[in-house]
Amino acid sequence: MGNYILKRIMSIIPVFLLAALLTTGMIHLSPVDPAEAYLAAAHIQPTDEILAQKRHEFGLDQPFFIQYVNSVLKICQLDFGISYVSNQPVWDEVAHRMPATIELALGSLMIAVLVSVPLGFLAGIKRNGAVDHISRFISFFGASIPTFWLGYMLVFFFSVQLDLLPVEGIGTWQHLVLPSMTLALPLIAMYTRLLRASVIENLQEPYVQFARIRGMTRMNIMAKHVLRMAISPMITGLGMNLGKLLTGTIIVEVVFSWPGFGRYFIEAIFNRDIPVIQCYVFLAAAFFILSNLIVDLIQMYIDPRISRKEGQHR
Amino acid sequence: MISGRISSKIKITFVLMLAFSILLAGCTTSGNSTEKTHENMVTMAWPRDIGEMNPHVYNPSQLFAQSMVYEPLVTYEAGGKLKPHLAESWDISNDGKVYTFHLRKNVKFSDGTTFNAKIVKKNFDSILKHTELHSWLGFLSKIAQTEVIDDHTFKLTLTEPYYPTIQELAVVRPVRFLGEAGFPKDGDTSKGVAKPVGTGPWVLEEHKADEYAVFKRNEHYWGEKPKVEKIKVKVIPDAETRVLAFEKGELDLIYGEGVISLDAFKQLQATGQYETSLSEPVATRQLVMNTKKEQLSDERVRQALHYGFDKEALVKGITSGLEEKADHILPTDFPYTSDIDVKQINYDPEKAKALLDAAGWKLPNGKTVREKDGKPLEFSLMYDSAESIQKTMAETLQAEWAAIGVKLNLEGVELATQVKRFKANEFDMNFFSNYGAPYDPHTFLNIVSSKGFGFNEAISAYPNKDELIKQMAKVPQTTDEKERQELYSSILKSLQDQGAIVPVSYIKKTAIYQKNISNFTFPANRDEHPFTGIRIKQQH
Repeated sequence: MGNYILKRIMSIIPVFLLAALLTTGMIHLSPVDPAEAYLAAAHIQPTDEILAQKRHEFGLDQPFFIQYVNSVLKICQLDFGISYVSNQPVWDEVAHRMPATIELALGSLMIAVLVSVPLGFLAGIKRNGAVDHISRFISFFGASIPTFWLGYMLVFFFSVQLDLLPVEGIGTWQHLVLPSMTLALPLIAMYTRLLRASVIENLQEPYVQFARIRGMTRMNIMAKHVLRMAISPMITGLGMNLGKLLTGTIIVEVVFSWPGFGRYFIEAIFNRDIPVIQCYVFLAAAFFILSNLIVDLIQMYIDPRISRKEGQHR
Repeated sequence: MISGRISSKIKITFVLMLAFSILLAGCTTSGNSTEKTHENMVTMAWPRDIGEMNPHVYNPSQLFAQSMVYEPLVTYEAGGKLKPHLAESWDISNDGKVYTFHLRKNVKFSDGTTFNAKIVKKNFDSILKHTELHSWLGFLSKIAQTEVIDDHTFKLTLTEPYYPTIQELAVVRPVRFLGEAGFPKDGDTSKGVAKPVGTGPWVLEEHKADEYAVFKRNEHYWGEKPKVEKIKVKVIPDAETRVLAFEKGELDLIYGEGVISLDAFKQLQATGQYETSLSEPVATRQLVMNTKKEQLSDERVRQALHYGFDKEALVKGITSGLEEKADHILPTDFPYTSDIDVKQINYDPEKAKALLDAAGWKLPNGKTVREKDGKPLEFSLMYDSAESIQKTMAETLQAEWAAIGVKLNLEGVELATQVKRFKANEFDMNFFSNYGAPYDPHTFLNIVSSKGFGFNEAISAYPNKDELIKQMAKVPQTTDEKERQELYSSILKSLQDQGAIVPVSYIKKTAIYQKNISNFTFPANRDEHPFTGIRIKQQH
């Protein structure tokens, strides 16, 4: 088991290196000259002399390989450079805004799990029942609505018309409700269907019949065995979405004026604040890699067969 | 029987859905804690955080917020008048090089310290440590010496006469004054200030980055005290969210340029539940033609294009009256711009066709685009693809000019690309708008005459270009008011009459506010805050 974990962790290193390669290479693919962007942000009239000096400062006159190695070394120390706009270390700026984004992501994850687990499970054990109908409705609804539109609609109904919740901002739990609902709905749609399908599949498995023969109660079978088996694909889905959740907050953060780092990223794009953009791209990649790793480990814990299988092959 | 079962299922589904939504609503009713608005506080929305409250830096600090806390020596008032502010009066030497300012007495910073010549010098010296940051502001690069004469007299010596000095002192940044306690240990404010201490009517009370800022009335303010106690600035980046928050009553005021979409503004205005207002023109939206492009090098073609579109209908139709048709390349309420005698050009497609014929661009039989020596009369117009007004105007021009046999291609580009290509002279036609008050008219002349901004190259086909450039360079050095006005009149007339710069519309600021807000006025200075006179009607 320990071997498996180690192997899994080792396997993310090349992916990290690739992510760093992309972020470093990004500057060369973009038509924006970082030195020029810096001077524009700092309000300095660009002359050829200053431009050359800045390019040298940013290390852009070095061979690409050297630039790459340097940026990998810097990333290892969480050094993403200095923001062109605020003149503060990018990492500080991002770390400062991260808690808000994590709060939002966790809030929506919680709503998503709380709604989709019972909904998907009940829909699965009683196909074509009332709950199943509701779950289908929510799934179609959630999968087809664009988030920004949903956000506006929720605000329009719950805040402006019914006056129940604040329109925007952060602070109390009431502020969290609408943005996390907005983010959660597409997830609910996806997980409910995933869990429903998986429950139905598991109900056909021989172990269910065996349990019945053994005389276990239906409740017992469902809760102890079916749910536990059926939830596995959902956890995979959850993990794949963890990264998506943290990066998908961008639009919701803008719509609800949520002071997270997605919104900061949007502003950085408009300001051509290249170090911030690079940091964001790298972090997004890191989120995906890490969340996949975490999911694998949880999966292994729930279903120990996974690590054993790996062990047998090698 | 079957249908009965189905209908009961539908019923159950429906009941469950209802129960679910009631549950949801029930969860949230306790959250009905809409912040009670402070008795005497105006809440407004702004797209970005106010940034660092440092009078000597640029973005991301927001101009309006800097202007609330820090004050200038001179203010820019309606009609381009320059009025005493922290300086009670000033003398200018005959050679136009020495400026002596008599400072207002009894002015205190918000921390109780006195405003005097020493602190003025300290601020100037701190700014002058980084002239590279401020090269755009002409007079700063011409300062030879700053001197304290006595407690309330400050002397500024320039290396050469530069008449816009007084006007440039009215800008919001960087020449406003920070109190002693605000300076960092090394005295270099470019890297940050210790405390936002100013002489202005407002004091920053609370600031949560990316969330909100609260400004409190400065009770020690020397001038007219603000009527409301506090101004709360909420950071709401999204325009539609601003509108929703405003409709819900979480905001008292939205104002600015482009802070609210045209549709939303009209819709809110139509409800009759809110007050709206428009400012005087703050800038001119111009169409710039590159005379280096062969097809646009003939003045008759440029005039024909000007005659060939219905400006009045275009501006009215596209901006729904939020902008005004412009007849001058600079708004006429700026200094020296009120009496420019330009050629009036009114919509006249027949005249446009005649001019094109005279210029040799004939319409071949069976074709829709005019030709000359086998070349079509075709060029492209570059616009900022994120700006819907530019885009719609470009589309309208395309249709209007097609009717006189001109083919216009549209190129929507990113703002950064637009600026870059304009500067590199890689365009046929482009939209531009000038800086506005208090920067113009001299800044506009500077942009036109300097190489590398786009205009200098664009007017290459003007026969009197060299003469114009020379005149423009001379304007800032004039010491005689009459001579200066004559130069402005002839330069602006010549620039406009030769048709490479076509005024399209005057851009205005918009404001929408709740009915209990009164006395909202736009300051003449484009970047200044509008809060000093604002009042809240007390409800009974």
